[in-house]
Amino acid sequence: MRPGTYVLLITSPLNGLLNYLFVYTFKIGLLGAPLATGISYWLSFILLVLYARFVAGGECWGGWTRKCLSNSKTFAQLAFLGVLHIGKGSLRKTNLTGANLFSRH
Amino acid sequence: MDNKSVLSLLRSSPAEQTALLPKDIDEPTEGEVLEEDDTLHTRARIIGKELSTLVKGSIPIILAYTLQNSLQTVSVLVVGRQSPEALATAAFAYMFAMASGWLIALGGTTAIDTLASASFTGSKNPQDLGVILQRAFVILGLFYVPVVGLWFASEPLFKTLGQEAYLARDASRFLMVLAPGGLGYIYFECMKKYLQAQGKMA
Repeated sequence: MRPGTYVLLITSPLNGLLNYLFVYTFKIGLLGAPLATGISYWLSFILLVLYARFVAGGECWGGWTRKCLSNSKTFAQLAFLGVLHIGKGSLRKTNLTGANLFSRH
Repeated sequence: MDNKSVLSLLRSSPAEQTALLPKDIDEPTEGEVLEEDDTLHTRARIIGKELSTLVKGSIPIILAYTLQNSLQTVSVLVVGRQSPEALATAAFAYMFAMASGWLIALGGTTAIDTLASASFTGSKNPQDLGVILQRAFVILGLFYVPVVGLWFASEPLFKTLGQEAYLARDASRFLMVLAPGGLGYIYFECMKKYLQAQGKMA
């Protein structure tokens, strides 16, 4: 299994708990849900960074350099094409098209 | 076509119309013919082996994506207990987030796959991968800026699309609160790709 899955095995149940606490116990209401889920996403990221730092994968990290700002055009082009590609697929898959956006609940 | 004619075909000088592959060359020769029972047995074994490889390979991926999507699914289920309106708003807002911000996390990070595998195997300096990760943090963060702009201005958009006033207002607020967390999701995906490029699957 991948490290991302291990991390999610921890944060996924925690996310349910956080959502419940924020919405009902702390009485934030509807907006407690995105707050709790946002915290869970950041926690997943932090745990994965800790994995890379203390378990495996840290040897490819050489600290922050200015080099990351150069050659950005190639990366941006590839990323943009990736967004379009996944967007095309998930629009078809999840029926997010007009049907959901335009229908009244 | 027997071996003799294949040989003669290969010896004859080729012209523009010569076929690249001789016809019927994949017909079994005498040595390869198997008994009827033997074939059935072999086929069953091959299918069984293939099936177990597919199942073993797909279960971790199914688990990973189920867990990843469970974050927002559980969130919708928990907040949906409050009222039908809350359920509708949460589901609508997450759907809109998925069609905009999450695309950067899932699609934009494929650039790391493309560049990282080449640099990890082709470059002498393994820390080039770290530079690619930094570049992903910077550029995908910039990609996320217009998406957040869209989320903050989404109330009039939802109204124009014909949603009810309460839903347009609440879904827009929902997205505003979700906006900082979305960046965490994008960076989580970046880290996953960074570890995957090094073959850290175990």
